Amino acid sequence: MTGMTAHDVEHADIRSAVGEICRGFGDPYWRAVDQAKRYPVEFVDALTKAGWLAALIPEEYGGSGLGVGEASVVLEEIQRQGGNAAACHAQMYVMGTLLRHGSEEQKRMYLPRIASGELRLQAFGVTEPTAGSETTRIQTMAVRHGDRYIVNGQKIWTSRFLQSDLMLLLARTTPYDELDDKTKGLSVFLVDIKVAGDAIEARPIDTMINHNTNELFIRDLAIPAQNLIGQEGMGFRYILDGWNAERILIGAECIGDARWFIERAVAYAKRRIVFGRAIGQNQGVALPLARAHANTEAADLMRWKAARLFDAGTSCGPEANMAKLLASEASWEAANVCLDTHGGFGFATEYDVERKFRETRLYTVAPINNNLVLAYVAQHVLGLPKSY
Amino acid sequence: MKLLVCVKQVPDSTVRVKVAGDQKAIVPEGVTWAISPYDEYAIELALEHKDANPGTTVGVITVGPPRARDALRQALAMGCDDATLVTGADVETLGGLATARALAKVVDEVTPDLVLCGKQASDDDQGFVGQALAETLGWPHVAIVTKFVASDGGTEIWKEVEGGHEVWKASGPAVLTVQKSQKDPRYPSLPGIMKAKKKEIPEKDLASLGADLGGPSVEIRAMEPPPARKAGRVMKDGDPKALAAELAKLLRDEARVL
Repeated sequence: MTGMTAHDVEHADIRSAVGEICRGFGDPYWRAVDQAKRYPVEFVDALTKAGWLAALIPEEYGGSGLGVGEASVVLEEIQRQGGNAAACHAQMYVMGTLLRHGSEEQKRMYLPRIASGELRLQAFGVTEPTAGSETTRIQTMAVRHGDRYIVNGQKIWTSRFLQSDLMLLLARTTPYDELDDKTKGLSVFLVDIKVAGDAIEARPIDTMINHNTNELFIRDLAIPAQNLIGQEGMGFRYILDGWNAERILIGAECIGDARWFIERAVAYAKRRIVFGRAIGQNQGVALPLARAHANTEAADLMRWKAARLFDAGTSCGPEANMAKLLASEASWEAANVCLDTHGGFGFATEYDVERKFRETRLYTVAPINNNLVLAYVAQHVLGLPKSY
Repeated sequence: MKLLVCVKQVPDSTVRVKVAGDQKAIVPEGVTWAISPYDEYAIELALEHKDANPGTTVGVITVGPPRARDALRQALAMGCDDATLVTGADVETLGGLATARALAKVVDEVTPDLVLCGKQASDDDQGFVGQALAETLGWPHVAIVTKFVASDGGTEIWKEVEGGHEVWKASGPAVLTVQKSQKDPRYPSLPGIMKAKKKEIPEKDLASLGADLGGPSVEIRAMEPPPARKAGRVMKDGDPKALAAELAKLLRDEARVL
């Protein structure tokens, strides 16, 4: 450990312990759940039991109180070992809105049970069919009647709804036209999915990856007023707060993916003999791998810059967004290079490259499209006129 | 109940070990070390008892070089309460009997109700230390154990036998050597890792224990890696029918699998 800081040692501990769990769920496991489009419940259970998904919950509420930097190492390691953390990463960070803006009573009631895994809070109903990235235009309406709100509307791309006990829901509490400040008028609610019953109809959306996502139809859903998180009308601000953490964590997953692609490609390029020599000896194979590696390392620097700012409580919007942008581009580049290196074999499911290829493609689009990251940087960092 | 689990740090089962130049040891460089798998089952058995009986304490001990501290740290992260490292000069070449005698000295001091060991270590597969420890202590020993429960005035111990199990009973302290059981050893948890980092692991000097480290021992005279596998034969040119007949002949006469 010579030359390592105490912080590095801790990261090594995290990598080693998470890696040990991941080795119990190797390529055949992920291939099988992918082919069956099945939720990787055994993997998620193992991760939950060992406390990894409660990493960000403070110790006083039953978690381990780690920073986003450390939590990002957990997700990076899962991807690096060939797994798919998207199945459960939200259990780590969706609770952040509750933690930062919920009342003490709400936190005491829910966080310890989320930390133990008894309650799964890994769905957040935000996006709507008619208001993609323009969140302030959402139409799902929550109207207060006495001590409860009645909600009607529709959500789309609500991931892991069927694998959750609780969901955070963003709904309009003031009509758009009545607002001077269009960023207000939205509120966040904690929804108990079992209690909601038939008031929420979930229709799973079949996608090109094994990702459990849904369209939700909400009809006369009654939510007790005590389940409002923070102040009415401030919901958009609250979810913005959570986005930076999400960007950093997803960025780390991309770094893990990129490293998986490069390691697999390098190993294959060394052992695949064509025309009497390893294909990795050909610069047409080697140089794209070297470039993918360099871009991954560069993106990782931005990921760590963002994570350190976040954990120091410093504003990090530009860095968190750029980390997600650069890391998702690096993982997509590495995915393509890995597929090219494998040639036809890259398309064979037994090599796992095509599965990871499909999975990592998601991150240039979600949770935010990279074009919107660029628009944000152009406007908020460079001071250019708003483009939309 | 006070439980003490004896563990050995061995090369991880996924590591490809290399034989050193003198052919008497393996090359330690590049080896990932781990708790021997049967010892992990012993830890799991002890921790399950602790889960069901909150008053239970689980200590863990190893006789080994300083790197074996990592194995103890791992056991603490799984949920063991305390750990002890016995180390000193020549500890890596210590024989099984001397190891058992050193462990017995610590057992005398700790006075556990039960001592658990894996039934054998995955490096030398001798299956010796647990039984030698029982003999040194003058305690009864039960082998191939998959379960134990405290009962009136003692411990009921499940011992695996072909097609089933026997239930033995120990009225006092005993040494159990543990078999693989249905429940896999738990992963170290994040809170466990954080707690384990804060715990001190006291070190005992092997030479100062007062154990007789001499006596009969075994010496490794030579080690050799398994022979390299011969390359397979590919049959692809020719009439499929003739190839099939040739293959059947080879499988029968050469490979002798038919």
